[in-house]
Amino acid sequence: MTPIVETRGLTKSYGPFQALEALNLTIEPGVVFGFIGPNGAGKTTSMRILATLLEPTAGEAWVGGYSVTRESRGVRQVLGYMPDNFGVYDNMKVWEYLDFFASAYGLPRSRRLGLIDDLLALVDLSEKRDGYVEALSRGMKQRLCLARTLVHDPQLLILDEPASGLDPRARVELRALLRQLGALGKTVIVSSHILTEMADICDHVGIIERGRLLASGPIEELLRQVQTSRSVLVRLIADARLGDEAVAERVRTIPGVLGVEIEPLAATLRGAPAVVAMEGTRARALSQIIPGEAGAPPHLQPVPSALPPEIAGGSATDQRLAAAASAAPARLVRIDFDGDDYRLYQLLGELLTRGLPVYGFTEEVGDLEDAFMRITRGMVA
Amino acid sequence: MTAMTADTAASPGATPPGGEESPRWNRAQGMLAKELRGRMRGPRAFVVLSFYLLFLAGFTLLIYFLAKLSAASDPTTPIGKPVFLGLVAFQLGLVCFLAPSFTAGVISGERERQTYDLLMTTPLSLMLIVAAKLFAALAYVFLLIIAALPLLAISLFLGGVAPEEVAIAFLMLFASALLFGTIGLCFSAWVRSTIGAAALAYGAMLVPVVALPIVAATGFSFLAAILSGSNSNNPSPTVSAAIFYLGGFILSLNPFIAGGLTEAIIYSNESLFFFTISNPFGSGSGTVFVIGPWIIYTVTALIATVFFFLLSLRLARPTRGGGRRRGTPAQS
Repeated sequence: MTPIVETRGLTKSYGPFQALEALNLTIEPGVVFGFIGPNGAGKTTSMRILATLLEPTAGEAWVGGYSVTRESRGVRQVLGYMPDNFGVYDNMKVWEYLDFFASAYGLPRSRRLGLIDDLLALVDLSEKRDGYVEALSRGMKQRLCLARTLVHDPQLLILDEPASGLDPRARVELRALLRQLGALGKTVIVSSHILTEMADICDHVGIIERGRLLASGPIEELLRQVQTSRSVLVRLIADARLGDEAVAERVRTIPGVLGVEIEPLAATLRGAPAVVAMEGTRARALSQIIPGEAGAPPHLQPVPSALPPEIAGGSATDQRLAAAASAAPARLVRIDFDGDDYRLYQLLGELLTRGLPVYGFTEEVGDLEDAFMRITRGMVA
Repeated sequence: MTAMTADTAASPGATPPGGEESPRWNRAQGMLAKELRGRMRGPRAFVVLSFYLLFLAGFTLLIYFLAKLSAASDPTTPIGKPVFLGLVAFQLGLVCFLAPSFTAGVISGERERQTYDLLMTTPLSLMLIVAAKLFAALAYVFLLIIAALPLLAISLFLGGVAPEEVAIAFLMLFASALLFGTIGLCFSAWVRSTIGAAALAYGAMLVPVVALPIVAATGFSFLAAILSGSNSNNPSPTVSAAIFYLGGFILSLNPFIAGGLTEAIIYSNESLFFFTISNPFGSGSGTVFVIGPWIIYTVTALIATVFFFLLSLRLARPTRGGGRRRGTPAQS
């Protein structure tokens, strides 16, 4: 498949300052691509070059197969661009604003009128059709500008910080709109500082710093790349017969396990007996905040049983476990593990074989913020 | 919310079915409509035009009564001429000041409003954008000139004014509007702020209108003093001819002087296009043909208009950024 965006050695310098350094980037059609990086990293510079607003110092870029330096007219036909700071023509009505940009793409009047109504419906501004642009709120102007980028049904949308300056409600609405555009099959390049939003909207990201692309690809793949090992969270039901050391010993000897960390689960804190079973600073801290059942704060009050009634009233073993649970905390075991999915499956089997009362087994996947912090290493001041 | 349908989202640049306008025509029409709408929307344009005509009518009446008073001693003197000259001079002054102020904000204003990038990422050609903006800005100036036509027509009825004079006056007014308009446009493309562009445009406008006659008058007086002081060393005919033509050309670059000289030539019953001067370089130097000053001014103004327009296109290119913008890194 021909990439919708491709850059090769794209470089932009302003005198001695290098805003972009040999950027090599490929974005496939239909992808919602998040461009993330600190201020001054080169995101806007890259986007402006792709939008034919800036000439690169070296290298080349293609949008929809058109060269941004030699075929800017072709690029503009397949591209919808929304800059981070943009203005609107205040002395125009909302429909006139869209009508002007639709005419700029050569659409005949007969098509423009229906198109404007559709676009206004898409961005939820139908009731503002005949109002003046100057009367719109910032969020509405942002949506109107987004509608403007869609007038010619572009293959690619480049949105530079589209959510900046918006209130929480407008941000949520914009996020929903971007997801909708992704669902419509548009390729979207979006930049933002809010990584949780990016993780929510995008399926691919590129992390850029000091003009260099540090990492690029699908989010899941990127997160996996930055993790040196897999982290597995195992939940054990409360069992007073098993001490932390015994649990750790049984887990540590399983092939592929690199490290074990055990902590009690707050939901099953039992007061004094549980605290006794713990060691170290965590136990001391807990003994200070939970002097006993009577003195525990409401959200840390003991629960009647760590086991569901159907298990507690089951077999003799289950009943013994249930009795033991009443005097011990449930545990959360964090296992640092090296292995593929099959080895992971084998790990679960081993845990059960070794008599550990597992009721929860999940792989902990890091988030975009973790990946960003690891990759960028805070190189930009 | 509803999804955009495929049939309404027309493919870019597609040739519409027979009977519909071409994409190029749609672009030109849309750009012109946007610019003219921006200029003419609201009561401002109507109010300015009304007050302008009221003021001009009052000015015409004043000249009329003054001319009538002076003609009382000599009833044969036609009073149409002073009315015509007064009105044209007033309009010329107005064009010199209004045209640059109307165009000084056309490109810098887009940059200030942060709408320039939006325009530049459309398939609209830079030529179309700049030309449409210039046309819309000057259309209002042209409207002011044409709206005064009935008042000028009064001078025809009052006598002493030929229709050719009115035609030449209009030609010079339009040429002046184009010249000073493109000067404003050029600075608007070069400088980021509209105020800065307007200040520079006024400065540039004052060069031919004010500075040139002063410098020329001073220079020629100085030259004449030198030449008259050295009788033993009279300048050669070539030097005299050069001084004569250069002086005539420089003076013709000022619209007021060019217009005044043209009136003087018409008054002496010479041709509108060429006139003759006998012995301009001393006795025995013969008769020379000289092109009418209004032709020199109009042609020079039109050539300068083309130059400033092309320069504006170059300065308005987004990838060049224009003057101070160049070398400014993007935010992130």
